[in-house]
Amino acid sequence: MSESKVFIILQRNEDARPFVEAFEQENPEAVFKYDQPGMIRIENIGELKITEEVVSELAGRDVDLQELHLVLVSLSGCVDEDDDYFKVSWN
Amino acid sequence: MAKKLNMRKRYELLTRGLGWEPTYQPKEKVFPQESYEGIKIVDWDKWEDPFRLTAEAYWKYQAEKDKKLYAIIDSFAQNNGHLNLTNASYINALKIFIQGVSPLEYGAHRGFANLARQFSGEGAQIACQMQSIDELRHVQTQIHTLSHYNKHFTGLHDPFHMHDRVWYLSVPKSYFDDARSAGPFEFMTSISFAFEYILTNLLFVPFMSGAAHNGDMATVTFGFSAQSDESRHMTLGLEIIKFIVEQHEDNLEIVQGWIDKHFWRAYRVLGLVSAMQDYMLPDSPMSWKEAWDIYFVDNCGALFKDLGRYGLRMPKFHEQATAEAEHLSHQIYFTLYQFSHAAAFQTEIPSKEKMDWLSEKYPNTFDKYYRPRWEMYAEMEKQGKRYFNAGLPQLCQVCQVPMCFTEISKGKPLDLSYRLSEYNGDKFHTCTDACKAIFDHEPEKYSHAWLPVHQIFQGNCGGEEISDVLKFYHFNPEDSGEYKGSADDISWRAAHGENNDIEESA
Amino acid sequence: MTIKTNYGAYPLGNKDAVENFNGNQLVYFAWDDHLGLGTAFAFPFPPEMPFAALKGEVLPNVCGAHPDFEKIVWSTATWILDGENFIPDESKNLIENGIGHKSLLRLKTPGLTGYKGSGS
Repeated sequence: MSESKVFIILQRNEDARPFVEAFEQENPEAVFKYDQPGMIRIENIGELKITEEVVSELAGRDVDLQELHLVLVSLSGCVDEDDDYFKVSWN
Repeated sequence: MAKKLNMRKRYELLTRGLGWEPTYQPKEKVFPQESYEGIKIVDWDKWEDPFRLTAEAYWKYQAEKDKKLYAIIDSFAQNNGHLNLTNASYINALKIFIQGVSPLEYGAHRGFANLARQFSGEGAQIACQMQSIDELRHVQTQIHTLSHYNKHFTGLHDPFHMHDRVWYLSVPKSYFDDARSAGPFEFMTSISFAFEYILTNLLFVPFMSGAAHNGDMATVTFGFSAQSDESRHMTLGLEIIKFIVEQHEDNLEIVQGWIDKHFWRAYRVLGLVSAMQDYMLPDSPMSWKEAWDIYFVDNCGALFKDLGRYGLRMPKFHEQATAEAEHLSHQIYFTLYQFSHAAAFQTEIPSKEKMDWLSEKYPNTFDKYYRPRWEMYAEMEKQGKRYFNAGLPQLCQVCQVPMCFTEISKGKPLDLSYRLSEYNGDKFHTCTDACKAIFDHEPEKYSHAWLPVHQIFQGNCGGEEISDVLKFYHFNPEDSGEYKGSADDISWRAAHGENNDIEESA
Repeated sequence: MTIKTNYGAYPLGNKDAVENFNGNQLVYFAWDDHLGLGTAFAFPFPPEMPFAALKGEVLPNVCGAHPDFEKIVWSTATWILDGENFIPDESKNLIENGIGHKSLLRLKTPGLTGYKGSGS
C-alpha cells in the first residue's frame, strides 16, 4: 500500500452522517478535519474504505453506496467501487 | 425472479455492445478526429469509468441534487438571504465567478458533447455525455442561484456577453478556447485532467467554504452541488490519462506535453481565484498559499507519485507556480484594483484587519513587498486621488493576463518579468518562461490571439474612449470603480440602517 | 514545431500585424522599480511621433500620479529598448529612434526606487 495520503471531502449535513461515521468506524487511523466551514475532510495514508453493511447499519435503512454522490465534495486517489464497498486508494 | 445484477455488470451492459462497426463508410471517416493528434488507441474496451453510474442512477441522483439546491435557493430568496452576508463587497467575488467561471461550464458542456460524438469507444462516449449534461446543469444552477443577487447588486446582468469581450475575462475564455480548438484527446487532457483533476479543488473547495464563511448559503449549495459532479469528472480525468498512456507507448510523450501546457494555462486562470480568495472574501477561511500547499503540493505530489509507474512526471514549471504562491494573489489583485474603473466589479484597499490577516498568512512577502503599495494607494486616496491606471496594460500573448508577474524564481520579486519571442518577423511578448514555451511550441496558434487591449486600439471594441468600450462590454456606469461609495455599498448600508456618509479612511 | 491539423494546413495569420492599427504602431512602456503604477503600459502611437512627445506628454499622463515622478532628474535617467541600453534622440521620432511595432521601452531612474524605496 502506498504511503501517500488519500482524502475525501463530504458536506457537513445529515445525509453525510452515516458515511462519515462509517469512515470513522472502518478506518481507525483516518484523520477527520472540521476546520473548513460547511465540509468535513477525511484523510488517511494509503486508502479509505467503507462498506454497504456498515453504512446501512448506521443509517438504519438499506443504503445504496452511490448515495455518496449526494454529499461528496471532492476526493483524491483512485476510486474502486461495487455494490458492497467504496474505496479510494493510491496503488 | 432474476437476480439483481451487480454494479460492474450493470455498467458493462450500459457501456458495451451499444456500438456497431460501420459498413458503408470507413471508420476513420465516421470518427474523423480520433487519430490526427497522434494518439493511438488499440482497444477501447479497456476503458473503465471509475464511477460505474448507470443512466437510471445518474438521473436519480442528479434530480435529488437539484431538488435540494432549488429548495435552498427558494428559502434564501424568501428570507432575503443576501442581507445576511458579511458585507456586500463579497458580491464582487460572485461577479467574477459568474462572468468568468459560469461561461466556462457552458464551454465544457459543448466540449464534452463534441467529444461524445468524436470518440469511437462507447464507454468514453457515455462518460462524455454525462459530463456534458453535468456541465449544463452547473451553468444553469449558477445562473439561477445568482439571479437573486442580480436583483439587488450591480455587475451581474450580462455575464455571457461580457465573457466574450472583456479584458480580464479573456483570461479564462482564451484558455477554454485553446482547449476546445484542439483535438479531442488534448481537450480531455486539458479540461478533465489538468483543470478538473489538478486544479478545480483550488477553485471550488476553499472558495465555496469561503462562501459559507461569509454567509452565502446559496452559493455554497450550488458550489458543493457542482463539486459533487466534479469528483466524478476528476476521477474520469485520472482514468483517461492512464487509459491513453496504457494504450500505446507513443502516447506518453504527447500526453506529457499536453499536461505541461494545460497545467500552466489552467493555473494562470486560477490567478483570478487567488485574488478572490485572499482579497475579495471579507472573511477568508484559508489563504491561497495554504490551499496551494494542500491541494497542489500534497495532493498532486501523491498523484504524480502514483502516475510515475506510467512514466508521467509532474507538470513542467510546477516549481514556478509553487514559488509564486506567496505572491500571486497580491499581484493579481493590485492589477484588478487599478483597472477596476474598467471592470464590472468594484475593488477597495483592504481593511486594517484584512492587511493583518495577509501579514500573518504571507509572513515572507506581504509586509516586505505588498503592504507598502497599499499604504501608497491609501495616501493617494486620502488626497482625493484614488489610483486608477491612466493607461491600458500590456498583456501576455498566451495567458492574456496583464504583465504583472515578477521574476520570483530568479529571486527578484520586484522586477517585472518579460519574455520575448520572434515569429514571422513580429515580436510576441509573454509573462514567463512557461507562457513563452507554450507560444514557441505553437506560434501559429497564439499569433491569432484576440488580445483585448490590442483590439481596443484596432478600433474593434466600440470606440476610442474608455466609455465607448464599457458600453461595448454592456457595463452600466455603477458597475465599476471604487467599492466605497458605490451603488452596492450605499444600498447595503441603507438596508442595514447605516449612515451613508463615508467614513474617513483611517 | 508544427501544429497538428486534421483539415489541411493551419491558417497563418497575425491578429496584431502593424497594418491593423490604423496607421499606429504598438509601443509598450514601463518604469522600473515603480510597481505601484502596475504593469507595463501599452500604447498605439503614430510611428512619426517625436520621442519628446512620449517623454513630455504621455509619461506625465500615465506616471504623474506616482509621488516619485516629479523627483525624476532626467539627466540621470537611463532607457532600455527591447532589452538593450538605449540613448534616445528626443528630437527624432519613434521609428528614427529604432522604436518599432511592439517594442518594449523601459525607464530607469537611479536613486528613485518607488514609494519609500519599496519598489512600489
